[in-house]
Amino acid sequence: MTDESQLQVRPKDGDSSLSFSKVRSSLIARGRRDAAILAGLSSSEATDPLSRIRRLAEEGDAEAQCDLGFMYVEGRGVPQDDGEALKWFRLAAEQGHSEAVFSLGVMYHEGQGTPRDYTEALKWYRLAAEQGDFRAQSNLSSMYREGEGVAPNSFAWANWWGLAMEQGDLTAQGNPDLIPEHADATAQSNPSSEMLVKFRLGAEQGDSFSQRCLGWMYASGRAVPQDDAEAAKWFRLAAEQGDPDAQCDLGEMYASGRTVPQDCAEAVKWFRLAAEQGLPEAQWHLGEMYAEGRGVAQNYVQAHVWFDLAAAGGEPRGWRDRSIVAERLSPPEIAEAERLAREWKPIHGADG
Amino acid sequence: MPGKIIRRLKPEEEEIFRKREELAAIRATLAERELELVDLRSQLAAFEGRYLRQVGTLYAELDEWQARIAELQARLNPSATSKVQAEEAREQARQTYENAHGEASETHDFTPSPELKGIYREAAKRIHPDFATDAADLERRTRLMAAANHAYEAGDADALQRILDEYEDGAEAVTGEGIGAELIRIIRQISTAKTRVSAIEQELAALRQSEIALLKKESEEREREGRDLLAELASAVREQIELAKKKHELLSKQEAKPA
Repeated sequence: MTDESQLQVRPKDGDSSLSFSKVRSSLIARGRRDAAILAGLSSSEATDPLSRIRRLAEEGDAEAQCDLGFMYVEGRGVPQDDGEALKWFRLAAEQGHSEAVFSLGVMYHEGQGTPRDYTEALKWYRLAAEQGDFRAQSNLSSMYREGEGVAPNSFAWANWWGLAMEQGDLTAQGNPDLIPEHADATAQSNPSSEMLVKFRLGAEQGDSFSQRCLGWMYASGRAVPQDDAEAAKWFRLAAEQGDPDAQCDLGEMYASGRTVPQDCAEAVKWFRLAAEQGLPEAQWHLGEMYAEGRGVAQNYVQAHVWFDLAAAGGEPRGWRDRSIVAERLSPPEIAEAERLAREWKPIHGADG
Repeated sequence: MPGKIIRRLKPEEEEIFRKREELAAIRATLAERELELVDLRSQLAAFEGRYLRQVGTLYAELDEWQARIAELQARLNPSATSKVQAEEAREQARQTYENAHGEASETHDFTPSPELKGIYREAAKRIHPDFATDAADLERRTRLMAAANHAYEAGDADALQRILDEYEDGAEAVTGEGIGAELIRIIRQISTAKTRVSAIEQELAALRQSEIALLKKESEEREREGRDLLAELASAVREQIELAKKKHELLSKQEAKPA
């Protein structure tokens, strides 16, 4: 707009109906941005979202795969098909798409599109919960409470419930709907210290899950002053009982040398114990140790095997690093690594 | 046979003729630019109305769902951050609704006839307030020009003609001022008109760079490929609305069925 005094010819109300005088330009700019995205699509894809989403999903776009999964669940634009939904959620989840990871957990939990499988549900919920998904933490907590696929474990239940409660703001008032029936009033006002009491009791009685959770509270300084030596102590106790998450945490401590003297061979030992039990994060760490030749002789084939397994377990860094390692391997070496990964079977240890 | 008596013009008279011609030319240019401006504004307003009806209202619906989702998330997961996010989403929804359902939604398509354009051109040339001689004249011209703009935008040729006639009836009295004073007046009018022409040109340039003008241009380009940009946009936004509804439903279940 130029100087308003020169525009007296036109009445003011005429101006206000037009967006170039700023009022609506953001709403119009939004349309232009979206239009620019559509410009890259063919005419049929632009008017038919399904064909666009399907093309993107088939090209490996995790967001589109997850969308397509929802469309099949609801029968929106496609015939309702839980099996198809499961397939697309899985593809997106394997790329680490958090909404898909959670949804896949729900499908296995509810037995939608697949026979009910608590072990799979636990696996995907746990992954989503560890990414901080509040709903997954909540559902995971309920599985531990009901003993679905695991022995009822009040400590694990309390841990996930506590995490769900604490997400975001430690001092926030909890949602009363979400407080487990057995929790007392103090838990509502200060969930962290309530959890600390439960974990300490459990840890001292030898419950590996509680030991790891306690270690983790010391490591993060949650409800207690941060204390790496205490964290290492509890991680070690849990790790020695075979808890893969604690083994992985302990491995990280040895690899970084932050709280214990650095010892890469010791780190490899703990990563391997957890990796053999199928923990994707530990598999990735082990792959990294092989790739860098730390604590173990450098071996790209072994690195490829462990990155591959981590990736299949939903560890996004596995996908990335496997392709880096693959560039240094000959085709027969890659084939060998893929064969080893296919033939690999997890060793079942204690599951917390 | 007496020769034809030719009155030799005095230099200031010659100057006045030249200046009058110059003024006439600049008045014609000014009228042309005013017409262009009114046309462009009306076309953009009409296109904006279509955009708001077809797409803007859908954005308003989408933002409403996003606001509900944010509010649900804030209830499920109360924290300072989620509360702020919910408030921001609610405010965004309110603004989008207001912008999408504003008064421009009733604008009609604008295609003026050559006849209407002709009358408007004439009206702008004569009535334009930039040619006012005093305060009272300025007021009268401003009122009539505003009425003329309304009549033109409404496509009402008869009303426009009446406004022009009304102006002619009260046309400025021939002032008995001296030739020097008239020269000065004309020179001032030329200068005012030139300023106005350049102001209009700046405004036209600004309008052509506005978001709505660019969107209109893109839409026309798409049309030449046999595609409909607004329809494509509407369909994409509808798809986003469906996804938002789904997300809202999942969260509602979460709220209804706690762990």
